[in-house]
Amino acid sequence: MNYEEYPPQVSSALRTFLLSRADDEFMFGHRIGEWVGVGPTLEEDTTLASICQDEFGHGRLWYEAVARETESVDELAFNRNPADRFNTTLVEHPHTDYATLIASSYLYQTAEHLIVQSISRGDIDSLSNRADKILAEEPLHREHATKWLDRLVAGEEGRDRLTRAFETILPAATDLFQYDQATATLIADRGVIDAPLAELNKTWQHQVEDRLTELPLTVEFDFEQLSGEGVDTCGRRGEHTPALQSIVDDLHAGNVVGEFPVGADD
Amino acid sequence: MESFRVFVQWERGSPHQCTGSVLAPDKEMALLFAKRTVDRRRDPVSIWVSPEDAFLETDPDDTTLEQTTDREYRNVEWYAQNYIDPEDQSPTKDE
Repeated sequence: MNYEEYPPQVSSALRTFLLSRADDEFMFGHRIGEWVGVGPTLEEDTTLASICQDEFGHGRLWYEAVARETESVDELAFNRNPADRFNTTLVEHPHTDYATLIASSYLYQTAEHLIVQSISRGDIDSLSNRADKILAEEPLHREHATKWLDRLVAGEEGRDRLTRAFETILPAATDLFQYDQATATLIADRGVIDAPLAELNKTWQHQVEDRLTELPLTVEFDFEQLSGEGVDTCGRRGEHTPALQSIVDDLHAGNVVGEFPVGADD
Repeated sequence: MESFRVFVQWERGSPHQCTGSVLAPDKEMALLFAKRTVDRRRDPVSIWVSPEDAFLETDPDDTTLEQTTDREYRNVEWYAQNYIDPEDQSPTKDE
């Protein structure tokens, strides 16, 4: 797809939306990658490394859809400041314990599935083809998150940690579908997705609420907030927590810094 | 955590091969780990996992598995090598 062929307003909305998909995958992959070597078992380490690679691969697919001759995939991935990134604040949130990883993974994978599925059913072939590739690799990620959820709630410590994890990160997940009105309208009108974002948001909100109510957890959270009402820091509009800056700094740590210095052109 | 033995079938119709083991809390997680731990550069057809303690094994040094008397005549090869064609009039090497 050459999105620059669209009128400027549309191409800008498309760029924001596609970059948000790419940034989500890249940042979440990075957070998962941080567990490699310190995961609970060798088998879990291998599985996380594998999921991390999948997420990076999916991020690349979306960055490639945006990249132009003057702007390589690497530049898009590494050389953008937090204010130019559109990932949800959920994926930048640090994983302070294993329950946080599993809780964020569950929230992220279920929302991502709805969005990618909607792109897959959309009208733009070059995007729906990419979505299909991603959908093929995704079931295992959801399986990983949901199976661990079921197992972590089996013990008291697991229940305590999961409850705390959900209470901490659910607010960060409220921006998942909160694109600015112009972007939301344009990507639906142009058939990038086959259903309005608000509708996907509602489906996701109910899925999450149902699942968390089923689990033997008492999560103190008003699930109505997942509809995006009163979202605090909205990643989809370039607002982020300091955690994203620390990821970007990590990406440029040590010898990497010379090659893609963020803000060097400023 | 329990040890599970992993078996992989690489081609349809071929036997499952034992490719090692994974540690997991239960068999469902064992299968998930196995899916991600086997060589992903090739595409397996199917994967089995089974708890390690479900297996009963013979000892590699178990001598009762070895044959002590000659049973060569039971093998198809023996008949193939010792077959005498009734139509063949040429003298055999015994004559």
